[in-house]
Amino acid sequence: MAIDAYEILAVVFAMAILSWTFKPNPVHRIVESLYVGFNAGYLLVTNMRTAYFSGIQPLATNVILMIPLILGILMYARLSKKYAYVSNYPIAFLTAIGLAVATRSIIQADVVEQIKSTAIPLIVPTSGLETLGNIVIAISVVSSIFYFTYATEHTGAKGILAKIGIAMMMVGFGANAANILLSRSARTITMLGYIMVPSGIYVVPIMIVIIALSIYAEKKGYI
Amino acid sequence: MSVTVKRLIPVAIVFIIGFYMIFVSYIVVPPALTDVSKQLTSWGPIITALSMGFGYIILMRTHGRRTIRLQKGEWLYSLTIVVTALVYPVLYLTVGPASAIYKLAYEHVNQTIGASIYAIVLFALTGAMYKAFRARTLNGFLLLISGLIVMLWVAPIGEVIWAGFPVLGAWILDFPSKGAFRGMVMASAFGALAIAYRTLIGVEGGHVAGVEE
Amino acid sequence: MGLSDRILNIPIPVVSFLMILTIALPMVTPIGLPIKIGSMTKAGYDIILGLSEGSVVLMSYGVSPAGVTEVGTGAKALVYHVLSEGHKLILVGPAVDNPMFVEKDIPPIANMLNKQYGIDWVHLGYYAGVEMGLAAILSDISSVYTTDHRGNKLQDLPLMQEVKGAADIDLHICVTFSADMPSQLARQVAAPYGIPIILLCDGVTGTIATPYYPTQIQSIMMSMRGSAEYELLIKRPAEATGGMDSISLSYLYLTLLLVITNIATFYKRGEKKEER
Repeated sequence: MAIDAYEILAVVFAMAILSWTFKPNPVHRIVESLYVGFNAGYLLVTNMRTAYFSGIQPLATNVILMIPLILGILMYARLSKKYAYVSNYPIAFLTAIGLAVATRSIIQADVVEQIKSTAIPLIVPTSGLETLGNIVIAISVVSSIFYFTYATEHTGAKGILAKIGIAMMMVGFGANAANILLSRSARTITMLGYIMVPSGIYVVPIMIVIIALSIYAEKKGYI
Repeated sequence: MSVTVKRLIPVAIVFIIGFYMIFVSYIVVPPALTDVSKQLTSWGPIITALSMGFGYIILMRTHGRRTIRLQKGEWLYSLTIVVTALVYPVLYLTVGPASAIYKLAYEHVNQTIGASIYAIVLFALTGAMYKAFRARTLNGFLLLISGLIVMLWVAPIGEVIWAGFPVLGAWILDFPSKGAFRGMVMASAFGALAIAYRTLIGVEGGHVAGVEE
Repeated sequence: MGLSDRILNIPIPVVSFLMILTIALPMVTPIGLPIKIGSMTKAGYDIILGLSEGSVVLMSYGVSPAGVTEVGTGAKALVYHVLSEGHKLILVGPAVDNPMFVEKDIPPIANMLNKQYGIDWVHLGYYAGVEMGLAAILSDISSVYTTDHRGNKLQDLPLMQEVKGAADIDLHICVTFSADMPSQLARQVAAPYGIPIILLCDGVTGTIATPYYPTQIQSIMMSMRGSAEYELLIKRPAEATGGMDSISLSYLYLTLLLVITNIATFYKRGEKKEER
């Protein structure tokens, strides 16, 4: 049987991470540190590359790009206690741009369009289920918005409306929980795909022994 | 002077730029003014990309110190982080991002470990669902029932058990669940507008945090 | 300890281990249960079919290590469908991991369909700033990218001569794990430009995106189920379709466990009432 080093490496990593669910151990922590380090380096390289191609390379034809480049560099002033306040300027720019970009369409996208989608004819003559659904959605929207309204006390009829809102949200969270489970199960399939390979037959027991020994060594204070 | 430089100028920057960009998107203005807004929007990604190195420096500084001090129980892991954090920068500068070794490092380290880390959440989630999905109240019952029905809609075996599960599951997602999340979207939009306004006028000072007056 | 007590106090590691087992078993012996195509996925398929030939599709290829099986296979299915229908594809990535997956997944598909880089598809690469970056791209692509991911200048790529911003884009496909993305898409793509959107996302994001369906986001493909449905629609079943057997068995196990647990809970409550 040909030895695939990459396959073995994948089993080692997957087993190391999986061992955390049994007990945190040095092997898992080493692999985790490996990931943190590799990811940090990759993040740095990709972002600096992006900054170079978006900001520095076009500088010759677009001198005004000097401003965001200087602002980006000013962010590093945070490393100094004396000049940390200088980093507030690029942060202020980013805050302003981010806020403007996000809020200029928020009324259209998250309020007007949502109201338009809710204010539809409730009765659908051809489908009883859809009619029921339209009524439920209208009640659901009104009651869940009302639940988040704190200007008035939720007592009496208002209290009932808020309770309906919570009930509808519980239905939504239940549906969400099922979909979260789908996501996590899919990711587990990926991980199991790394372990359930031909090399796994002998690598998995070896990893179990190594992890057990590392737990023992940590307990005894050797690591 | 100190307060002006450290706090008032950043607040003024947020106010002027923020209101300007919002103003030109709502009012018909000469194209030159819209172009300025577009230019400002394009600066955001450049500033963000350039400032990502800050986190890297903090990471290296923190773990470098632990390594040098041989901090008990931590130095080995910190050394691993410091050494591996240099791998990609070195590879980029020596062999380049198009090289096979660069891609192999990503595929067999980042991808493998990353996929495994995200997968182990299932353990915690299964245990949490086992403990939490117990219908002690009406709301708990609704949570349980909608979760079970949608689960049996998502899983193909649900339709094998009963043809109504896909219909009911889709109905739950299309109507009561959609309505509830729609309410949350609208409520959070109002909240976001309020926070945005407070930030623009300088009442919310989070972006100038850490400045001693 | 009665039976109901045992059921209510099963050790969590046992519950979790059995869950893993039910996921792993069909990977060894597939069952092959039929998968019904949902209306939200079919809507996306119909949108791509309905585009006129040569339409430009901007695809945010947000595949990362976590989602290789979950959305990676669905993303490849979407790329295959778009290119095989004769449309042009521009790929961008809002996360640092994305470009690696584009360079790994797309060239084999493009080569299979005889699609030329620079004419039929272009990979622009990573952009920083998420929502700000998306807004900047749609306003003017050259304000974010001066070269593509491979280092080619945009003016040297024939496809990028035709596409400058949102006005030239006919469809936006977003593959994402970010729960904020649906609202960002509504704010930056749907509201200002009215570009149709197909969203392929994880389960959490899918549920959060439902309020925007179908007016602002015209199709939502949720997680591995959505990926599997699309694979079947284009008649190219792959990992997602195979993985649905694991989902079936594990969900059946969890459903039975929860039903039995709740029966035990009611039984215990009945016992306590009797004791009083």
